Amino acid sequence: MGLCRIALLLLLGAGQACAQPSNATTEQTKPIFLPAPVRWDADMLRFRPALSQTASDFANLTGGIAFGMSAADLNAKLPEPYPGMSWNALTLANEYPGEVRYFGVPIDSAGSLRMGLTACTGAGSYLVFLFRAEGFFRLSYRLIPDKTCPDTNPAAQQIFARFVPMGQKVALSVRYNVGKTQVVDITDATAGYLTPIRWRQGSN
Amino acid sequence: MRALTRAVAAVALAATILPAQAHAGPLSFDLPLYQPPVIADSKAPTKCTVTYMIADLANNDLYASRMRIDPAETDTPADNRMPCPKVVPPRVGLQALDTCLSRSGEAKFCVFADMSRGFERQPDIHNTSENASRCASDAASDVGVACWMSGNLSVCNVACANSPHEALAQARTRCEEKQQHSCPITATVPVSAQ
Repeated sequence: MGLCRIALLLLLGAGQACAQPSNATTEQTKPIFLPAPVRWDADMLRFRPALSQTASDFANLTGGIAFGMSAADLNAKLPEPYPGMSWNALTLANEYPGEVRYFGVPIDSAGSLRMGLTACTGAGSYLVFLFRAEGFFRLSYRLIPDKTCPDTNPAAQQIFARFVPMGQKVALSVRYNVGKTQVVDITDATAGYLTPIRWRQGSN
Repeated sequence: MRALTRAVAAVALAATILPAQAHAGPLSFDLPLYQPPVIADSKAPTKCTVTYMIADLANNDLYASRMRIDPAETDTPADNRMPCPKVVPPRVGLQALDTCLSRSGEAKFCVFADMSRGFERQPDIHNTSENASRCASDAASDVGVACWMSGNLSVCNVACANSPHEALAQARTRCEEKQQHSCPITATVPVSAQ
């Protein structure tokens, strides 16, 4: 076998060795979200929720935080409460009609509201608690990527997956992105006209 | 002296009775109410569940929308599974889509997850199959989904089978044959939540 032939075989071998990784398709598992099941009658004419879920199921999921709570009561449930929290101390949320106010906490200080996250979130990620006059009505996760966590989509999926099984008569979970920020909003089912309003970057 | 003895005896009697009474009160409020009042019969036949795989194109998410269907009076189980209706009316599929619609806010983002070839060029519900996107619990225990990425869009197909492994394998085969692409992104979920 001539030197040229050996060199050619070596080149081909190297080429194949290099080609292997790009040929092998990257296997990925996609999450499947599981909304609360629906129960139909035998004629499939009428349906209703298959599970009986209440506000206490939501509170069990969030470590005791429930829709309708005052800012002071909700603040007291957090691992690191702010001193002197009250309705008047809250900032106005400009994207909502009427008077909606909010405060936020870094996601690292959110205690059980981190929902057992294992995916990265970015150091600047935070949670916002939104209130109307009747009390707390929306929990909003804002997951901001950074150099150490360039993709917060997996974290948003993990949080979303915990809330999707909650029936829509208790809480409505929505996820979307604003720029590179992944947002997961969990809204009180009785929030009415406030429900479809989404966060706009810069508004709060 | 006799009065004193009686008094001591009365105190001793009270001391034995009162703690029992004090105990008796709280005990009745301390019932283990967290336990379900009905114990599920693990040998009961699996009730019919029809599970739809729904795709949210805005977030590239998948939902398994489970529809439990009550048995008709004449239904009898086969292989310990209650039968599912042979024909499922479109309103059930529309309700399944609603699990996505209520979250995405726009109908155009919510489609059935079994997609036609070329879906990536025309990503709308008309290029999806409602029938192929659902699995019934009387015929299958698991739903499998296999997808390929066209840019940021997942293009998927669905299969029903009697194990997660089989469901994934069948979904991948269906996807690769239909889409003429390698379909490395997969997902599986049981048809029934029972």
